[in-house]
Amino acid sequence: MKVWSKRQKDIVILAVQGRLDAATSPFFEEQVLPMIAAGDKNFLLDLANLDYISSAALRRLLFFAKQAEDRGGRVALLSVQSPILEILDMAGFTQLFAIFTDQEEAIRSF
Amino acid sequence: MPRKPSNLLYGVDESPGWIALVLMGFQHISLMAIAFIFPVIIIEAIGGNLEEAEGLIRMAMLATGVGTILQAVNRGPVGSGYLCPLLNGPAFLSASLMAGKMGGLSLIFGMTAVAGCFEAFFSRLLSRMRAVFPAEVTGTIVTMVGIEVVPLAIRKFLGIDRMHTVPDGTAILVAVITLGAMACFNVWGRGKLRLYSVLLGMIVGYAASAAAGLLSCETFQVMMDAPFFALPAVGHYGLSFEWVLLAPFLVAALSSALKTMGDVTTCQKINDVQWKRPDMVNISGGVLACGISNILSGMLGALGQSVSSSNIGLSIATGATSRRIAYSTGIILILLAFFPKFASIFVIMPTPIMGASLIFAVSFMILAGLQIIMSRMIDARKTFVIGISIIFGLSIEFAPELYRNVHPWIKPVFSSSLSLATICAVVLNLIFRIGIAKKTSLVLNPGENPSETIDHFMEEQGRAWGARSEVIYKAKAAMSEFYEAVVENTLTRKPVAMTVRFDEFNLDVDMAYEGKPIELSAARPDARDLLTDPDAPLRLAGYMIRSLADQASIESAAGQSCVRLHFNH
Repeated sequence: MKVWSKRQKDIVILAVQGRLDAATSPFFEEQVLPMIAAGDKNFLLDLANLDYISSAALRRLLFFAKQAEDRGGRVALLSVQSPILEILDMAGFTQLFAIFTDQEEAIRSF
Repeated sequence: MPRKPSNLLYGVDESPGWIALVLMGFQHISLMAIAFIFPVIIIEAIGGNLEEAEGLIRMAMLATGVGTILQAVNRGPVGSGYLCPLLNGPAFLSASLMAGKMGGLSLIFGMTAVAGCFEAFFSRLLSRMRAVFPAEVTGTIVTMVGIEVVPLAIRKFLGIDRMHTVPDGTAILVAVITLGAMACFNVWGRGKLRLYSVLLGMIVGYAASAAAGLLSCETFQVMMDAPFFALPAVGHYGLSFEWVLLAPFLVAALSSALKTMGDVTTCQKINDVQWKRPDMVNISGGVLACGISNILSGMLGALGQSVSSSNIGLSIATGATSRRIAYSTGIILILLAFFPKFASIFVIMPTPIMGASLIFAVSFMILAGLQIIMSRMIDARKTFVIGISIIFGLSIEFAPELYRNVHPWIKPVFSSSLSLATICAVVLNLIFRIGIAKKTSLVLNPGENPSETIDHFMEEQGRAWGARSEVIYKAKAAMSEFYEAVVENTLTRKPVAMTVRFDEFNLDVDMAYEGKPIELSAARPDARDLLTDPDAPLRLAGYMIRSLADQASIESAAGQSCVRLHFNH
């Protein structure tokens, strides 16, 4: 799994590539938790290249979002491919996260 | 129950109004008129006169009119129930030329009736031959059905016909205007404009032809000279039989049956947004209708019939696939056989308009075939089946001289790119099926990275089986979810054995391990549970496994547990 980050205004855009599961979630957390600790609170996860996400990773995603919310920010999702969207929907996560197809629109929503 | 795609204005079971039915019937006949060239070719080859050619065209209208109606019947064993018009296509051309030169028209008609009997018999075997025609084979056939028409379409587009042997600038201009008009009406037109895009394009084409001088007074004289009403000379030439011609006519019938298979498969796909695989019982009804139509052709005194791919392309392009259009097309064709003056309108269609109409319809046909091929996962075996078949099929168009000296009995196989590609695809598919296990196993040991192992294992198997990628994805997700859950939650510390079985309709996964059974929860834990309840992650995993599969069950006895997942394919 690979994670790239860039900033636009006060929003951190994280592009995730590969599989997000119990084995790779700790790596993801290693990337994002220091950002929260440093004061970042708005995150846009670009999932265009995410191949798979397990329930264990979904739970970690929820914790990550909770921490962002506790600091007055939030986590939104961008370019979710249909198989991943189906998994998110199954787990009830489409009701928990704002999902966008257009990056500019997503940025404006923060 | 098929679900109508949103791009169709009139689905197979829907009915446009009467005026629309008549206009769309004429639109289809305008495209079918291109095939009236084949009776003319036969008559010319056997030294017949213009009157005989005209009579043969009218018999073609009568026989294909009945055939088109039979094909659209959706009750009983005869007919596919789709708008799938029949015409005197090229499938029987080579065999008919041989018969005509040997024994005249009576021999052509007698042998055509025999070929029809064979096709009808073959149709009864089809429902048991599902394994012979997987998606990559039917997709290749449908693609080649479109490609086969390309040489004829391009020649007509460039204005090449019996009178003109080199491309003609004026004709090309008319063809470009006609095709441009059809495309404009289809792409930017809404409702009725899209529905009648070919007919409107043809009207523009006729106007351009008149302005360019392609429609002369002599052309209209043919129409003027034709009688208003005349009874078709049914069975005028009688029937005869020759053993030596049996093989070429049986091969022609087989080509026609395979073409029908490809065309009916396309009809199934374009009428059902949830289409997954060819319905062989329905195809069998379509081939039977074709066989009966050929028996009828022989009895009436018409050439052999096969399904018109161009017309299916037209129905995709216009978004109108209603079977009632087939009925109206059939009835109009039958009536035209009795009214030669009106029938002659279609005989005088300028060559570039024919070419533009064909190119327009074939574009849609080729894409339909490629979509069928890509609906499944492709591995090296399937790449060879598809690639080799298309290459050899195309070789007939690129280098026809290579096949000039084949034995006359098997000439029909090499007379069309479709026939050769189809036979290649069927044979190669049977060969490459050797060695594909329908059941396979994987053992995952603790400490391994299961996610990638499962991913590679299922991808490889999915491609070998030609499975649908979305089903394989769900199975992979459920298997990964399961393994992660039982290991992370220490339900087992031993290896997990996964056994996967596949056939065209089912994908089953059994996952056996030594340890406590996992709960396949029916209720999804909410966000609060996931943040606070330590058991919630395992419940979510069980819920996800259950939801990803179409059926899920768990068995547990003597410390051994087994989760069984079923996926509909």
